Amino acid sequence: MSNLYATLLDRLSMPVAVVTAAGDIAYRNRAFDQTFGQDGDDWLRSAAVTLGGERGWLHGFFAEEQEQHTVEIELNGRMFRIEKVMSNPLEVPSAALVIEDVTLHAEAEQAKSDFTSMIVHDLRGPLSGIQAALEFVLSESARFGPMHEDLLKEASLESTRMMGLVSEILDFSKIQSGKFEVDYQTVMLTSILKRSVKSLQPIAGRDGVQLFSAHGSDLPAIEGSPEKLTQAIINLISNALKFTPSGGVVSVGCQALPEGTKPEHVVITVTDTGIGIAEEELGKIFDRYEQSASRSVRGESGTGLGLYIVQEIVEAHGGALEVSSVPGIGTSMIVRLPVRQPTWDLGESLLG
Amino acid sequence: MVAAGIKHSGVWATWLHLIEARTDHSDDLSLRGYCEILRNQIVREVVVRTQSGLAIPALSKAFLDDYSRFTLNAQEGYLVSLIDGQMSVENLLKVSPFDPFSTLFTVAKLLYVGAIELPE
Repeated sequence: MSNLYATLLDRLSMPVAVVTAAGDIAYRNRAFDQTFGQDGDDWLRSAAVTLGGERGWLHGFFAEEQEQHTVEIELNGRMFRIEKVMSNPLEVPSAALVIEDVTLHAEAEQAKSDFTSMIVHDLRGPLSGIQAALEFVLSESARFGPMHEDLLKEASLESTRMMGLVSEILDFSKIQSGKFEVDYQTVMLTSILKRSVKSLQPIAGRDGVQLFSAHGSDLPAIEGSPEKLTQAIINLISNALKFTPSGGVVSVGCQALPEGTKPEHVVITVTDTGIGIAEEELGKIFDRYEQSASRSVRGESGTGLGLYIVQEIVEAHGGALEVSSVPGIGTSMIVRLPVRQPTWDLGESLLG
Repeated sequence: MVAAGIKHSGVWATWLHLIEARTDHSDDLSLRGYCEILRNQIVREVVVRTQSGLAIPALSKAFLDDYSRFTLNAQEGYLVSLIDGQMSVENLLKVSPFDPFSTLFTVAKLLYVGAIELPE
């Protein structure tokens, strides 16, 4: 390694090492020595063992075809991110690695996630109380004039919307901390689709959008979480309503595939006659915090987490989520779910 | 591509073309999505054309003269049997055994093929 590179690398605050395919450290910068001292070799050996043995370690960094390869490992109570930044910087098979101690970062992320969960939990309680109180007052709405009734309905819809936003943040927090789990049960699709549509009819009516159930009543039961799937469907319908101008149509369809007695998948579609999504935006809409401002027709804003959460729910069920859109005509969100979740058949595997 | 199809051939022709393609590629989710977008557009147009269901459809002269030249499926045939020139689309939706979305789509199709017509 030339003096120039060695000098430059020594100026970096992050540990850098060049390791050979045999597992020896051929070069280490000053930050590496400062971080790991004379135990750098031992540290790398321990990291290799943690990553599944020396062969696993070498395989990861040297057999990978891609130029970059990153792993995160926990070692001696600290969290490290090891990134291969260059293949074969030496004449022998080797890799240049940048090692970053991300313990503080991971702890901060965890603290942020815990804090968000706590705050959101605390917000849900009073919000539920407000919703229940509004529902009760609305059930007595005959006593009020039409103006007061309209205001109460508006307050009820907005509190429902706020509860949705709070729930999204809570779900996002669970996804981030790996606590997002699916409790599999038998799901009656027809029932949850109908309920989802019914629950959003007041919002559709307020916005002058016709919301239709466009599916048969003989859909197969599938395996999944009724709560999570309802949440995903409600999220997709809410999104469609949000981006559909007055006079538009939103439909919720569902079909079993293949048609017949033993379907393997169901395909749920939530389709709107909104203003559509530009082609260059289509690839980004499932990213977290992504808000498709150009589609918004009522200036409503959300957390930008809705579609990200829907995708997580669908993927947790072994399904797929796709979008089709024609700018100026409409958008369709398409969910494909397996009717049965794949199970590990121990008996079959033992028998080969 | 779909937008260009609509521009050149109209919503119905594009929808029919996509449905044909979907038969060969039933696993293609995005194709399914495009079919649904056009189906929604067709329903939206028929809602506007029927003045949100207030219009009263009637059988067309062409249909009354020679109904055998219209190839209708069971659902279309059933809805045609309900059209008496007195019932509004809104009431048709109430008596139809099919869901409102399918019924409106079928009304749109019957209008498209010229089996029924709406008053000027």
